[in-house]
Amino acid sequence: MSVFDKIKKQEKYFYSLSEKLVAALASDEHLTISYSGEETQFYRFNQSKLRQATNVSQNAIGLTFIKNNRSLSKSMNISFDESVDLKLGLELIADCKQDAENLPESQSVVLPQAGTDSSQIIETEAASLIDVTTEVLAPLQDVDMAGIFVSGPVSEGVYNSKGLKHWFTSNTFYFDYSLYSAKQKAVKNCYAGSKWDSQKYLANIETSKQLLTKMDLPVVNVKPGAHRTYLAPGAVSEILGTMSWGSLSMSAFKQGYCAFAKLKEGKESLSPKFSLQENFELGLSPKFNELGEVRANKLNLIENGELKTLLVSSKSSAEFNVPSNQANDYEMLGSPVIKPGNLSQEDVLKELGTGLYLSNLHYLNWSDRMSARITGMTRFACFWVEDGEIVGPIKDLRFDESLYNCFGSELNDFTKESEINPNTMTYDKRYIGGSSAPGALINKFNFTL
Amino acid sequence: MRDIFKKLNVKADWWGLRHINQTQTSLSVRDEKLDGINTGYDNGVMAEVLVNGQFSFVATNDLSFDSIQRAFDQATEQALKNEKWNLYNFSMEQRPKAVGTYSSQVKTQFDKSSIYEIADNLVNATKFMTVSGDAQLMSRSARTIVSDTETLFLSSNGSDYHQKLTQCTLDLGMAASLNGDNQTRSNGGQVGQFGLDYFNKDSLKQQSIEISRELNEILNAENCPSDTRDLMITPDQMYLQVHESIGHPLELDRILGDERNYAGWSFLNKEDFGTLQYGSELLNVTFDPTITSELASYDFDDTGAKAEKKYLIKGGKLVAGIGSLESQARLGVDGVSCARMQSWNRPPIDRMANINVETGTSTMADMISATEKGILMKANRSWSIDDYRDKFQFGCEYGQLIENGKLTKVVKNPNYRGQCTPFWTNLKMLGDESTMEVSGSFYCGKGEPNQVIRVGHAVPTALFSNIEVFGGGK
Ligand SMILES: [Zn+2]
Repeated sequence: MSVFDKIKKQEKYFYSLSEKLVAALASDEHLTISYSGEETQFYRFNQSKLRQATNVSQNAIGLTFIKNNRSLSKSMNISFDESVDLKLGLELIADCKQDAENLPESQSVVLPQAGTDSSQIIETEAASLIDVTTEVLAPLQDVDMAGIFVSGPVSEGVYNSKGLKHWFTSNTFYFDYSLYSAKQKAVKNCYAGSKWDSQKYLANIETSKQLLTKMDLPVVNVKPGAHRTYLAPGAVSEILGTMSWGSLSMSAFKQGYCAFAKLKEGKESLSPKFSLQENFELGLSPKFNELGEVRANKLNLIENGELKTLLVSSKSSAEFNVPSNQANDYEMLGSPVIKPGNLSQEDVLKELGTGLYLSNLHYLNWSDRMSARITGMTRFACFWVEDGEIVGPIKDLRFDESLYNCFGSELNDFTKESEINPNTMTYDKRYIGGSSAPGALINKFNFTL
Repeated sequence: MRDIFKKLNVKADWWGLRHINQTQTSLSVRDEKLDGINTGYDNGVMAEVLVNGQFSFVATNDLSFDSIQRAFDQATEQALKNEKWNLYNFSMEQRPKAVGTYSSQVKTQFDKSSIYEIADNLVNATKFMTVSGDAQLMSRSARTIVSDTETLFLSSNGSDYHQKLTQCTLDLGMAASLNGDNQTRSNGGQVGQFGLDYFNKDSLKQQSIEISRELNEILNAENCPSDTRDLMITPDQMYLQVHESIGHPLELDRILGDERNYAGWSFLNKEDFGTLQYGSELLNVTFDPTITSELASYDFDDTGAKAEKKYLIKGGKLVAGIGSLESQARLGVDGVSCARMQSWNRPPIDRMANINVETGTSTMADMISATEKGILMKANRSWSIDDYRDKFQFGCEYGQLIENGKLTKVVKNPNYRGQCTPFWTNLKMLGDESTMEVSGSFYCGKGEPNQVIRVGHAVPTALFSNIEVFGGGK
């Protein structure tokens, strides 16, 4: 049986198990059931050798139960053996009924809705046909590499007590890695896709090896202070990741934790060159959320520097009486795209002139939320540039800068070219999705240490 | 599970089975109502084999005999297939025999209805979060996680180790706005191995009253000054300073380069152990699994290594690292029992457990009266450090200036930055037992694939000289 035949059986099983759980509800009880499953091969590498090989097969459902103005959830693993799964599932439904009698009232409840079903299984071969370790490691025996290779299918599904069904399966791989020179300087790269292509892989690592030779130039000791700075797409997407963390959430705004509160209130502004949208046409993640609501293909969040809307989940919508845009429960960015600019990637060094070229950033955090100020470190291939020429790699610097400056008054331009950054997070389970970001040239970027 | 293990047919030099069954309830209350509650049941096994010097892992949540046998077959096949690329030739020495049981020693055990009582007490706590004057209240929240994790470790060399940990969090927090500025104050986030008694109604109420008072102070306070002065930090900030700038750089797998592509490596080298003066002579750091209320107290780690108290930094000198038996063999440096896995679906790697700072001899009053120009900072709100674990920056919720031996003006948005060994070298006075708190983090992230782990930090209040401090604003 092919991996996709197995997944199609899992999809059917999920709906059938869900129907049996829904059958245990009374007329005033509501249920939304979500599914997540994966079969993942991990190879962790160090020194261009195999450190740990791990294969993980995991499948779980989440139940969101509503009764008596209480909304509560449970989750459990499923093994596709109905005698095991149904028994535990029914026990959890019984617990839900009891909890709803004993817990305090909810801030808001979102009742399941009927809608149009969807099922999308993207049948790609990923890396299933290659000998991964040999294919990946053999061309890297002349260099020191650390990283991880991840591949296999990931599925998500939803079923609710109104009979709504959604399913999404993607089968992708990524090799997220960094290369190290003898002087322990590093470059970072990622090769990702839905079908392994040896030629593309070799070209990807060749680019990294070439860049690594530049890292052996003498280190330039750059003093903290304000510098003209180019942030490569990898660095911009790190900032985008931090922005996802509470800066665009309606719930965070109402609760006093929103980093873009002053933007929302019109007290601060961003550059007219900065536009941000949720764009599910990237195709890396399902359009439905954990409630089974389908999101618009595109949603403008910030247009030409102006905030158009915050992310609003149906939960926030019910609580704060504002229209929902079907954001997920945490109101995080799902598939963000920053609009490209007019700067050509070829001209980046020339346009930068004298300043810093930063390929990656590390460990970002809000240092003052109310000022949308972020601190973090430079990491991997970062160079000092003079008159459009690379002088040498830098010793890592700490920055501390407000988005109202770097994506506001000090934003020179974004590049025409963007890069897609697949989400490589694997806490608890494999994340899917990703973002698209161009590079950014910033007139003045503040470094502190 | 023991019966299944006995019946398995495994062709490997060594094999081990970990069955991890976790029940965890996350409860969130806001503005006197339920904001969310989820109870997760996560139950699965990790099959591990040692074949020709390589450990190989296959995890599944299908607990039938056939599925577990298949997992072991697959783990063996995986090891054989990738044999020629193996990084290091491990042996059974990295999987000692572990036999015993460990159970969290909490005062009042939780039962199924405990969560109702906790929910009511959290709702009640938010009722006592208030602001005064023109300030506008924006949110009042109370959150907890109550988690029970049962682990059974069985191995072909006779390990049979059962562990049951009860670990909890308690977060109270509020936000308010005055003159266009929002400020937040929390209880600093409490974590530990504790029971139902910890969620006492009166104690929660008192904490709410206390954070309300301090939130009112910072709403009306000036911005923290930007200059260099002495810095005093309480355990709700000290724990994270220890975590980021002592715990992580001492991890041997970072020094070995395993983490270079993700969490980063370390400014330390193998040669620094036994020679490097990490901080002032007041600094004594231990790996201590014996404080029962601390998050990571246990008898054995996830490879079967026995956990015992040990000095990592003694009199300011670096003496041992945070490294498992695997890392100790690879690097040739002394370590501790710290190979830990997040759950059944991740392999064990070097992790912090309880990493503590041994108390000093000064009282709060001693430290304040010894300070001419300084600042007290409480409760972390921002943190960042570089991938070598050297250049850090921290922000706190509450600041108060110390002038001529006295606590004076309260300030908002207090931050400080520095570099690791110069900072610890500037440790000037260290608090005694009365200033010590058992703290820690539920979410220490690391590893590829990613893993979060729960770590404890029992630390006193500390005073550092000449630290760069600054305030907020764009
Ligand atoms: Zn950590």
